[in-house]
Amino acid sequence: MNKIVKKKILVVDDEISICMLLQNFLSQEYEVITIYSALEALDWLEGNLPDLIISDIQMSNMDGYEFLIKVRQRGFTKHTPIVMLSGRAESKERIKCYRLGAQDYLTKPFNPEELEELVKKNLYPIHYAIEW
Amino acid sequence: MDTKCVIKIIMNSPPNSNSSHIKLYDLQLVIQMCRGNDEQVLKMVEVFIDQISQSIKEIETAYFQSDFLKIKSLAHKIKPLFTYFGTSKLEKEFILAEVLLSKEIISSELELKIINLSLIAKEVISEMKNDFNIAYE
Repeated sequence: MNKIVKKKILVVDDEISICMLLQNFLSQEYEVITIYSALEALDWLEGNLPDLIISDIQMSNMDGYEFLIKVRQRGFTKHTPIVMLSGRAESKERIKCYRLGAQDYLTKPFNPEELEELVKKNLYPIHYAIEW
Repeated sequence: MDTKCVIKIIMNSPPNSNSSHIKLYDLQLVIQMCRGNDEQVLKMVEVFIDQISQSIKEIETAYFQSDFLKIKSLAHKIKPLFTYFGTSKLEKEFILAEVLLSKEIISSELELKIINLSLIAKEVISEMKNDFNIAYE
């Protein structure tokens, strides 16, 4: 029997509660890896390739923007979809993230259903479009 | 009362349904995100209590050092959690404090707000600890 391999999602946030919420919510359908710092996440990415990255913006040591730039500069993760999380709802923040290469932007506190749809949309873009 | 019973009661009762006592928190969203898993909900509550206690301590210290930037950053970071845990009273106080903080001036009003934040946070923590039978330090 074929084993179903779950899609892998990397969550990067220095807020432990947010990481736990995301893990609890998404782990039913996906393999979720939570890492509490952008620097550690970059180290993890040296040997691993997730299908999707969800990253906070305001983090100590390295913020989400710098993390996003570094992820996009790396060959293997150049095209990995990234959803940015932020407490700021201003459009200039969104624009900055999109220009740096993020696929989507979600404002905290996010609606779990919206998160679910964003994850699906980024993991299965063609199937998602066919359902329209 | 064990944790499972507490979570079931919380799940089955509408927010703030008790007229004699208005609950200081509402876990509907956390329960939804934990997909009703009691153990995960309890872990979330424990982590929330730790985080709030730590953040309030840091805010108080930063206030006495007039480090407004740090207070703003801490408040911004922690604010989304109030929505998930349905602590609207605490959230409102944080929003009001943020307005005063934007002036970057020490004032009796701001000091009162910080004291109030701390008191409400302690009330929330105390209520959660009682409801979930979490030991006091």
